[in-house]
Amino acid sequence: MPNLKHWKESFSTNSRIIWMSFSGKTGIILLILFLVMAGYVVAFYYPTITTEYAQGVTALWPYKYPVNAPPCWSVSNKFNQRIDIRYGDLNKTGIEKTLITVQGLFGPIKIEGYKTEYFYKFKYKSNAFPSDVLVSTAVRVGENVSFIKLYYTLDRPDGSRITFYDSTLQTGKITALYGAIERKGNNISVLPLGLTYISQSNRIYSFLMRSLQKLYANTSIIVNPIIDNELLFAKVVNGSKGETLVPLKGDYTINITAVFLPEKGVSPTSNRGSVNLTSFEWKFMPNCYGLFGTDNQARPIGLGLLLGVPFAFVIGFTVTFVSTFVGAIYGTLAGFWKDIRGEALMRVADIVNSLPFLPILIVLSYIFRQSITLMVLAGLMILLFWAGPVIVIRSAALQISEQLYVEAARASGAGASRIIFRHIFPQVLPYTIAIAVLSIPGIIVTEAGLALLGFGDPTAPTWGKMLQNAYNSQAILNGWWWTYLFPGLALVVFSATFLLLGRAIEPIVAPKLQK
Amino acid sequence: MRWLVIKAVNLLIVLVAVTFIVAAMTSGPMAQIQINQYKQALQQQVKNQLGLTPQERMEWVNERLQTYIESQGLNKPWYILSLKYTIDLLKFTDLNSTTLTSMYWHQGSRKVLYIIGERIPFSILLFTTSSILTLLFALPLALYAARSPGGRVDNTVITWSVFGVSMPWWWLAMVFIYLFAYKWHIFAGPGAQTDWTNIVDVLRRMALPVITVTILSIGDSAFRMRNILLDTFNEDFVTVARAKGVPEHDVLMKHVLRAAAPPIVTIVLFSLVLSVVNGAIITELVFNWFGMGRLYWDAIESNDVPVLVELTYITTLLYLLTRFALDILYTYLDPRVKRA
Amino acid sequence: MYSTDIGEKILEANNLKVWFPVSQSFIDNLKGKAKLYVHAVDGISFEVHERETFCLVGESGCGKTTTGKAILRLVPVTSGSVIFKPSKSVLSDLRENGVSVDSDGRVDLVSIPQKKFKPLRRDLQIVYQDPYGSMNPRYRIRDVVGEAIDVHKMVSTREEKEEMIIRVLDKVRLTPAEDFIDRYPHQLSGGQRQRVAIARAIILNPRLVIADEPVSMLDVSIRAEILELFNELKRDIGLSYIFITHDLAVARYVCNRIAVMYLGKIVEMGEAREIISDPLHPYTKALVAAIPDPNPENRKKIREVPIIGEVPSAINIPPGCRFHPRCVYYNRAVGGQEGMAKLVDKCPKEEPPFKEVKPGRRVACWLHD
Ligand SMILES: Nc1ncnc2c1ncn2[C@@H]1O[C@H](COP(=O)(O)OP(=O)(O)OP(=O)(O)O)[C@@H](O)[C@H]1O
Ligand code: SF4
Ligand SMILES: [Mg+2]
Repeated sequence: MPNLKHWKESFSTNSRIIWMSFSGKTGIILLILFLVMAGYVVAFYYPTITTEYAQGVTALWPYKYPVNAPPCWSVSNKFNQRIDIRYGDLNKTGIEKTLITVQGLFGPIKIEGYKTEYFYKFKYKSNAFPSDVLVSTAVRVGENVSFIKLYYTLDRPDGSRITFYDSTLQTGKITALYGAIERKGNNISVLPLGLTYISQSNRIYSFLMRSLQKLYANTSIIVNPIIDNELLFAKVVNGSKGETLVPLKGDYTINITAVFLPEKGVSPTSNRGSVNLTSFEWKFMPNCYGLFGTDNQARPIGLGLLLGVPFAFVIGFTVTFVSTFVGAIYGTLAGFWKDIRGEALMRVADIVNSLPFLPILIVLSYIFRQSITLMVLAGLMILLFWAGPVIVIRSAALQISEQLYVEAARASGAGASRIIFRHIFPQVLPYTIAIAVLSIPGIIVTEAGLALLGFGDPTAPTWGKMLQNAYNSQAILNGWWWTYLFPGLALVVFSATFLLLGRAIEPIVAPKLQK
Repeated sequence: MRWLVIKAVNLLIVLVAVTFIVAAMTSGPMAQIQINQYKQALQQQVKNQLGLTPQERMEWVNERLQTYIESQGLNKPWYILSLKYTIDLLKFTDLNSTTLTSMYWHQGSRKVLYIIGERIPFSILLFTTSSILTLLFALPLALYAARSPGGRVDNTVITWSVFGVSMPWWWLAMVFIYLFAYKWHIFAGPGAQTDWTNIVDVLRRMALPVITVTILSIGDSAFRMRNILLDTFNEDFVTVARAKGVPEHDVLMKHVLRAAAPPIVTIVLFSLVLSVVNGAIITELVFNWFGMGRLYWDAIESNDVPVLVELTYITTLLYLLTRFALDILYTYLDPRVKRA
Repeated sequence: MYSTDIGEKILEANNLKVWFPVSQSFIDNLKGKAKLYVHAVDGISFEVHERETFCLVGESGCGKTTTGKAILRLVPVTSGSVIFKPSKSVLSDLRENGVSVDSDGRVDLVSIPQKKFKPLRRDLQIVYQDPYGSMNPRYRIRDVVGEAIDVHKMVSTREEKEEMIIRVLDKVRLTPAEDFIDRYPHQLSGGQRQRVAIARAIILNPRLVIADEPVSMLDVSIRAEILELFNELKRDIGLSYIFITHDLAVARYVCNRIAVMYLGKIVEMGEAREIISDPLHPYTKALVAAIPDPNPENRKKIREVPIIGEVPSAINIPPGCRFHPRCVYYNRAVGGQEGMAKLVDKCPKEEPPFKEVKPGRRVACWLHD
């Protein structure tokens, strides 16, 4: 009995009708767009990048993208200079002899030691500040070095000097002055970290703080306790709004000088007796990013929008199609049985429909929160939403079951199951499809709401999770509007797509559904 | 009459079932969570008890845990707890909250009714205001739209409804808070200190929630009213009235609106009750608005099963009673509805 | 259409009643008010023979369709019995199912539980009045006609089924069958659809087909063709019909015997030709008089036997003779016409017996007591 031909025919005519209405056309175009995006993500980004995005692998994203950068179109004063100083860019002097002042038994004495110096000069030209400066610096001191002192400074165009480090170091190991140490077997690499929000326990914090406080001593600028990279490259101007910071343009010089003394008999050029810079990078991050900006973990919002598409499809489609299908069969049975069984079915559906679904969903997610995945969430929603279409489907089934052709089938000897599944259910199906499509927006919004409350699949970068991240990082208060505006808009457009489609389908399949 | 009795019995069945289901779903796992939390707290405390052997420490913790479990009745199986809650509620016995307390009027009281009684005014304040505003805007819009389907107003209503349905309230809330509270400083934000006895303060504080809810409700309400009105406009008696030369204004007021009133009343009342009782947990959270939705969240976060259960009971009762009342209203307002 | 080869009795309805309960208010139930019923079929008896077309005639709402559906057990029967003689294969299936069968190989359709009724559907079929509503719009003709084959598992292969369908379509003159088999009902004309409906009814070679006003919704121009088809099938495959119609002109064309129904009861029954040429019951007279007749002389009859008022509701059946509020004779009697005095007493009080007034002719009217 599979009426494939009929379906094909009605599909082609119906899709033409849908295409003719404005909402149908918009819906179809958007749907195709979203499908293409979903396909792209599944083909190229799944699962590594989606998981990395969802979990926000800390060191990875900030190295590639600026943190909390607004979209570039919204920034008038862009930091448009590329400054990325690598190890190889540094100028290095050879090992030179120098006199070292050390504390002797009877006051300071001068002895002959060695000095090695790294430096780099760059021009700061931009009118804006970078969003951050990523810095990594690590120094290796040979195990047979008996004395070491390291100076790490930045000389500014106005002649002032900012000191990052001015102290001794442990011998016989690599010390990361700044950056995140990453060990891979025997290899140690140091990933650059942003200068903004240096933790107070960091090696360079107190040096930096001291020189910055000195630099801004006679101004109203407050340095404590959070260090902002702006302070390194700023000068104070007196404007209409009081004292503000503007970039101090000109030549800056980074200088790292090690003064050291190897033990007797150890060559200052040998590995054991020397001091070497092992890793170094200064990377100025732009103060805006792309069309959509980045979030507080430096993840590009635009990428997140793209990655969220397939997950929106998965959750929306699974929940709606399973629950409307279950609801449709249930409603068909309730309409077919006109006795106590039908009544009982309706009572149960009524109870499920009267459950306060969001609180229950929250409670359930709370209970399952340790093991929550997209499919668990979908399951929970199906558990609560299947009864939604029952009333409409039942009345449709009731109408159909009173059609003469159903009686004719009975007169031919058809049993209950044949009548239900061959005659009534296929007629109810179009209603079901319309209901399913129309209920996708609700599901998407519900999933986002649950994610906002913290009940999201940790491996799925859904738009709801982006919103949660924004909400939890106080994005509203901090003015990072792009972190919640765009995921929300994506959600709205995605939902609207199905609403438009549903409305275009509705009059064709079920003229009376609207009431 | 028969249908009335049947409906009343149905109401009771649904009410009991919903209450029991919520109690059953929550009491077991929530009790476990509560026990674990208390145990962790005890394990922290025991570190301050100096001079105890590990064995004694364990006993110290277990002893107190046992007393706690018994005092809170957490050792009873879930079905007994759920049954007890349900029966208590049916007998109109107020439950006692386990962790939440009332904040303002009956300070420190653990009576769930007091806690709910404190929150309900907030919900009513917010949602009645926005329902009235919604009706004020939506009805004229719907009328204009239905009079010239496909016109500019109609298209506006349709587009608006698309956004109204597919946009989460709480998301618009976030956007509005940023714009109106933090950027332009027009209204008070969710973190603002509010003096609830000062009308100006209250208005400044409720402006954003009301605007958000109203804007999004207008679209959906207007669209549904438009559909109802459109159907009514196409009914025979309207055509007849027009053919008889009844002035358009009278057609509208005497015929169309009267016939379309019952379903429109239903829409407005239902959305009002639904949002008062449970529609806005997340929105209230974002606005830091201490209504019923927020109470649900507070109860869940603090594992307060009695509050959760009684809240469900009361909200379901309200919802079902509204439905019941509307059913009756409908039958008397609209002679076409059969009392089957 | 009187044919002489009428065979043995295959169906016999005895005092068949179908009452539909009227939904009543709760308060009325509490007050102990008697439960109300629609007396759709109120105790009728008749018999149908092999190769006979037995007609049920009457106004709209008199219970014709309900009678037919009661025989097919498509509506619940209140009381009475319907004795039917199934074909051999059906009989053996019934015996297998443990249905009680009498010594003549007859069964009581009313007392068989629904679950065991299925084999009987091969013998008893129906053609509906509405050729549009009686076919699933999503079914192709092959599915409509072939459904019974699937349901009763009559054949095992696709080819056999196809062959059966084509054969039956040929039989109802939907030729070439291959042209129709894959169409949808909406792609056919009303007459063609009714042919499909007939094909569906006869595909399993039933013994008795209930034709419920099969031509009343068709264009006048094609009615004759379809009626001719019915007659032809009766001749070719020995079918019997219970033919339901409200149109005596149609009845005259197809029926062997006619039963005239009024408000759930048969008021007159007999040979078709006799009933039409010489109606005895006042109601029949009125019906016959209403037949459009080309002969202007006969038109006077209409004025002669008018009918008064509207059909009363089937819930409150008038006492005595249920036709009396509308009966001209009774009204004349009340008006004092002589020689009819006994009607004044009897008609509104006592139900007239259904008496045989001559061989093969029964009437329920005090006039013919
Ligand atoms: N399922 C039912 N429930 C209640 N009443 C019914 C039902 N089916 C039929 N009736 C009533 O029974 C009476 C007889 O109906 P039936 O359909 O048998 O009449 P009919 O003679 O076939 O009329 P028509 O010529 O209009 O087809 C009518 O009063 C009808 O309203
Ligand atoms: S019994 Fe009396 S009322 Fe009935 S039909 Fe005969 S004459 Fe008329
Ligand atoms: Mg009929």
